Amino acid sequence: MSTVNSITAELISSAAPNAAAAQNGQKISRSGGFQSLFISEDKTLIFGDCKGSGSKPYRTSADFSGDAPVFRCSCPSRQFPCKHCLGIMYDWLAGKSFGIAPIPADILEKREKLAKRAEKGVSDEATVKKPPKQNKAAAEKKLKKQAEGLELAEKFVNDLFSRGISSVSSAAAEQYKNLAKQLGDYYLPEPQAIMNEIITAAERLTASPDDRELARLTGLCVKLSSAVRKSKAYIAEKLESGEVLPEDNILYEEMGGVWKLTQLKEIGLFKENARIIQLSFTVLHDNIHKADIDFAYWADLDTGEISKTENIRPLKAAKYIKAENSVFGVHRIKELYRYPGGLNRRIRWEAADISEAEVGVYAELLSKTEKSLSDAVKRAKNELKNTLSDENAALLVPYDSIEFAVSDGHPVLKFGEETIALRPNESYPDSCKVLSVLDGQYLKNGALLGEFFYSSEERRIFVCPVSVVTKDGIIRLC
Amino acid sequence: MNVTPFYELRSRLYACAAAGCQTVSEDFRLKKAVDEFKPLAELNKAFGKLSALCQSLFTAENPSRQLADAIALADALAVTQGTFADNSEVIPSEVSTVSGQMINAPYSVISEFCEKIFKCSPNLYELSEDETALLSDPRVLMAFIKACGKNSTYLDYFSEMMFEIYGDRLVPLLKNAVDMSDPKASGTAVEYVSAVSGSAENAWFLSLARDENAPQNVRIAAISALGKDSKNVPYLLELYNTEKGKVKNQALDTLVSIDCPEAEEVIAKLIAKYKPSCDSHISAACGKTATDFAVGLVKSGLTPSGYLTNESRRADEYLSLLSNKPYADEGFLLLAKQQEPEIINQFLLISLRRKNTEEYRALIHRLFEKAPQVFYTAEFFVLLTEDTENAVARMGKNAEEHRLELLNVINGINYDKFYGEYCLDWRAARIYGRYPVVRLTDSYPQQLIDFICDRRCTLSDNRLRNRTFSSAAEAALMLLNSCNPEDYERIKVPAVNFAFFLCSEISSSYVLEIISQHFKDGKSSDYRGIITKFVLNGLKNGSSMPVRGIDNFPLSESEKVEEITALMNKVAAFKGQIADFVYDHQMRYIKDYLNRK
Repeated sequence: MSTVNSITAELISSAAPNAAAAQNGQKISRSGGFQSLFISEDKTLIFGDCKGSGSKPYRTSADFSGDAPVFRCSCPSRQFPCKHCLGIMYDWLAGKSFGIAPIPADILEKREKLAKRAEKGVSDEATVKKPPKQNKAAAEKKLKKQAEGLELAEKFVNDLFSRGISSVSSAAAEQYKNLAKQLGDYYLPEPQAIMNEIITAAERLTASPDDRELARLTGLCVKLSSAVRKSKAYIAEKLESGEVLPEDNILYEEMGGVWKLTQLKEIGLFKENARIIQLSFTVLHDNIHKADIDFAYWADLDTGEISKTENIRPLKAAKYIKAENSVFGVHRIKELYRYPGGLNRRIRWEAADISEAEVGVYAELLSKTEKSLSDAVKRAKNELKNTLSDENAALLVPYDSIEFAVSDGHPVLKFGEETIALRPNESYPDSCKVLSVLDGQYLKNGALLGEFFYSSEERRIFVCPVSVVTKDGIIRLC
Repeated sequence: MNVTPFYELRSRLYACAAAGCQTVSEDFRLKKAVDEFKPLAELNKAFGKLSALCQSLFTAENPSRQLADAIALADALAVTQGTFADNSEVIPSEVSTVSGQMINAPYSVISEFCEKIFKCSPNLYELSEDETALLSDPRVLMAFIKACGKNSTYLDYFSEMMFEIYGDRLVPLLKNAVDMSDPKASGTAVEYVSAVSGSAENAWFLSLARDENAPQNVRIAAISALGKDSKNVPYLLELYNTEKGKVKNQALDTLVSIDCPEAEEVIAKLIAKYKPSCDSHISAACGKTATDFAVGLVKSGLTPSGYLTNESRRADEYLSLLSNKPYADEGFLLLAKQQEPEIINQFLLISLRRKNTEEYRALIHRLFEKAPQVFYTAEFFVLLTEDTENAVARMGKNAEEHRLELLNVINGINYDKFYGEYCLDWRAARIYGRYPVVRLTDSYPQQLIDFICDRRCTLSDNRLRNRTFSSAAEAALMLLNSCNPEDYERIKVPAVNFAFFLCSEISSSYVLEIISQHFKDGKSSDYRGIITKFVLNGLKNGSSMPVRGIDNFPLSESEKVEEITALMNKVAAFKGQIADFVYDHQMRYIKDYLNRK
């Protein structure tokens, strides 16, 4: 149990679903939106009435009696916590006067329910938890439907290769759009997304013909073709063997499957007592899925494995989904779930103990880097050559120094006798420039978290710098 | 192993996909590429697989699938073949920024702040403490360097802070920020280099100025920067003689802004064939020839009694011709009769801001000596920058006579948390543009506090007197709200006393705000009657200010109601003596207040 004294500006901003909500909460606090402010005698609850657009004021409270704060408000907002809950916490932080009052009956009732639920949870945990029963018949039916959709997608891609990718007219693009729409009915969101990407690229190509764009479009068609063929084989094998439930394979998710943490645990995709630290954080814009993605790379302090987290916020619902932000502490996680994947697996967890990163942590991290540039490139190539994997492979590579080319100023990473050129990519367009303004002291004897990528025009592997790790800390370049 | 045939084959496969594989059997280029690839295929298993796939393309009924597979395999092989070593000649980073470069700001904070920099937000004028702490973050520095292509006074202000932090370490970054490939690129980065390094980068400025392929704005900025060193006169002359259009004009303006015989010669030639289109160059010139000519023009435009003739130009056009001329005393004194002091001072200060030299300051001192009733604002501005502590005393009795105008200048002195100093904002003299502040002092001068809170006012015009006191109250309130915390107590005592004094003199919300916000330890008796004075003073001056501020006074509810009720009776006595609408308004404010209670 904590008290309202644990309210800090950081806590409010981390609780806020987005920066705008936090700002609105501040506005309410500054403009004196709360007509009354109260605190319980045991200092576990603050509550008050806030004037809103409705006829009655909203009843708002922030309850700190449990392990995590609970926010309640009678306003109709779908944001959680709403601006009023944030506002009352800002009022507390501003040192406004809160009258002492007994805890309202409705809140006592809700607390009781919560306690009962928690108790039930503990007793459930004590007994051996049976995994939820999977509906095999439904899964089989879905696979068959997907197989039908894949036929459709295969026809589409064969048609493109047959007619010629450069000949896609705007009229044909319209037809293809309808086809792509249909794929949604076959539970094939990823092939549908690739198809939409192809159509968009084809339209761009029609508007302004360009060799690079054409090569990119061809690459996408090949990707779709591979995805369709591998998915078809995957489905056929599943149907044949009768084992239709999810397994450690990226195709499950590629075909619209949504992993439950219990499923990941069941097939052994989890790690106990993990210690991880965030190496980078950025927000990527996914035009095809019309979403913002809070994207972070993490390093496992025990193994050095580089993983990633993705918090997808569809633009339509962005307001209601909490945006994530950079975090700096070491996360100690009881159960860390790992999604199927290659080099940089997606990870997730439900609860973590976060402690400040001590200086020794960075030295520990530096000891977990790749052993040489050749090794790193080899690992990256193994990942990049897979048609279905990402176009980038992130690794933590050590360096003796990062220096700058005399000819055009591009950064070059040096480790031992080996060198590799650093170059920006689409996700981190400015990171090389930030590197160039970094104090020279940071560019010696450290490690670089970089995304390895292949440039087919130059037939070379490059690294896009993302973060720099020194013995004293992590310098984020974006 | 020579893998060129592999890449040739890959490129043919891509070409085949672009053209369509319906006619692949007739694609002789692909066939040739497959044939040439065969020797490689024999050496390597993966290449062999690709070769077999390509062969099947020519025999398959519908080769689409084979084509996709072949490209996928070729792509995978290309990645495997990719090299990575970079043998460029390299040098270590020369960047040495500030110690303790801040590196742990969260993404949301950094991206929001960088967005403000890119958009050149007005917020860059008033950074919060948290934002100021971000200035040493390399991502913020990068955002600034990227934004350097924009023209914005907000960015100019921000740039001064970056100069303060990084100094001439910014120079190489700014130099790299100049986009030579964009013909419309601005010259802002060049101007920043000039501001940071003076003439130290003269060689670079000269190379840009002479580079015919450089963007025009960049050249113009570089030529302007050449004006900082008189050694550049021959180059400027060369540019003037060989260039055309805007570049030529800038070369001329920069040349004549340097006091030298070459410039005199050029200006003399211009004057010999004088056309009104030459005015901007004469205006830019600082030498004797241009000064004599400009003063002569002023003289010819005036009647013997000193007024503008019907044929003459507008006074501000003459003033413009006198710009940048530190010995044009006669012209300014002649025009002093014609022009509002505010305008004429503004022209003088514009020249001073461009070239803050001893000569210009001396010109202003001389003019003030001869016509203090006109040149007081410019003189006060110069005195504040030269001798902040004693500026008021050095103004003599003129300070009292022009108190209202000088208070406006004083309102432009703000404590800047970033510099830890009070800065004088040029905008206080209505001068806008690059680098808007002059740093003065870290402690607010006592003379200025005394001047603001001076209870004496000898003005006979009642309205002017009220305006002066109101302006003084505003200055006192602004100072209390934004002063260096170390000065607060020293300012608070005279400011609060002054506010209590003003209660009996004027009706100003600034006065009420000083009392309600900064007089914390008074007794209730101190606050009694203040609102009554505020309202009655307002009515005497024909205004109906709303009843406000009383809620913040430490009076009991009954005391507040008692005072406002008594006030209502006093206001009632004004009925018929003041305009009906003023009376009605005031009564409504009072009744509203009582109804709320």
